[in-house]
Amino acid sequence: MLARTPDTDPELVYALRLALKAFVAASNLEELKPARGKSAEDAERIADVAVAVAKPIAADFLLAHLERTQIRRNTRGEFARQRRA
Amino acid sequence: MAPTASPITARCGIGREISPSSTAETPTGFRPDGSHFEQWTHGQTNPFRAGVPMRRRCLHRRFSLQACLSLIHGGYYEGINKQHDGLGFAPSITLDDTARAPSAESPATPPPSFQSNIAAIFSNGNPVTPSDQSAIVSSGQLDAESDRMPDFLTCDDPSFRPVQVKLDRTARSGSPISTTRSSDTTRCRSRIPAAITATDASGASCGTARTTPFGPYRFPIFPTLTPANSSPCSARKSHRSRPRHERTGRPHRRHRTPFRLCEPRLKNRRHYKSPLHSNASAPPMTSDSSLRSAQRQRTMMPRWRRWRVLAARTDFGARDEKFFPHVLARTTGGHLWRAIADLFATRPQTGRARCCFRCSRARPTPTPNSFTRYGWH
Repeated sequence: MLARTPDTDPELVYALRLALKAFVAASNLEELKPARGKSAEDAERIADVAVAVAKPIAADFLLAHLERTQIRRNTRGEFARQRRA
Repeated sequence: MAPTASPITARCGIGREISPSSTAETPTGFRPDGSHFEQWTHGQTNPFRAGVPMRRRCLHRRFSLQACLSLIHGGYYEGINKQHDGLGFAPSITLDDTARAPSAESPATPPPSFQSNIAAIFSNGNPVTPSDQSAIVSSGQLDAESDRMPDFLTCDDPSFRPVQVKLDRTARSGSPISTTRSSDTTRCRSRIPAAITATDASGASCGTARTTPFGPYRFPIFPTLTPANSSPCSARKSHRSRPRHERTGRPHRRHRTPFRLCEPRLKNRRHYKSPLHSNASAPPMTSDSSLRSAQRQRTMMPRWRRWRVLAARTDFGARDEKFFPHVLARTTGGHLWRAIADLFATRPQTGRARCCFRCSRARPTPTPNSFTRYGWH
């Protein structure tokens, strides 16, 4: 649904990101693997909200995502901070 | 957790720490008995009196010409010195510059006889601009909408900040909306909290709006007046020993405060009239005796033994200080009353003084002659 939401509706985009963040916070790494393997865009969206989840699961996911993909340099720093946390 | 987070515990035992300026609301309303609460958003500035439970939504009271948007549950809104959780801030509620930082007042619930789709009436006092924002929220549709109303109360005095605006509930049934709507032409040109009679569309009086910049308007700082024909010590002693009606022989009557707000009297400018600011159209000056006589007749004040003036200026410029040799306080606009209250309360010499209160009219714009004058003897 987040992929189908236009950018002209920022409230819906923010609400969906909040929901995805809650999902990541309540999930484990095994549950996130299928979503990560579906498409690069889905993994990118999960990684986008995982930086707001202060849990080890989010850090592990971000590290794996960082190793698997070549991310932008500025985003890499955010992921590294999340990993330290 | 924010450094200044406050622990809040509901009566049911559930507690959490909420940072300042976060909206706490329950889906069914913020239960007034304190049994339950739920943190709704993070970081919205001054929203505590802004959340209104309506159709399981938490509406915001910062209205604009656009529709009233809903606050996203769990969202991090931009506020003063607030940080988001990593997702970024939630979209802004309003882009209306005049609606920023309003000090919201509880919404006036319309009477049942009024239109059924009107859910609430808001009148936000805005300490940023000398006006308030009024709006009507209608809940006839699925999404609540609001219409920005004309300013209910405006003031040309830059020091006037309608922090708290109370609507009188004595308005006729079905009239509060008209009260809010049609009173936009009411102009308050005094920084003194005023009671303004509002009229509806037909011109009939339908309510009273009271402006209280700093809560209930009162003067807790002035001591009891003493008649001037007796020394302060003897007067104070006799005052303790015998009731006043026994001392004066007059029939007992209820206490009547001598601190009475006077209408602006331009002819009272004798004390601070300066050659540089002389005005040809100014009324003739009067003597101190006639002023005191008129004042005594109006407010039943006793005869003063001596007179001193405290001029608290709200405008700026050191050039004018020489015209006010007894200036004791220099205040900034918007904090005038609080500064004066602190001054009187903290200085022992002012606490011992016999004070009366007189307030001159402030000009709409800060000019060298625009000030508030206090006197005591």
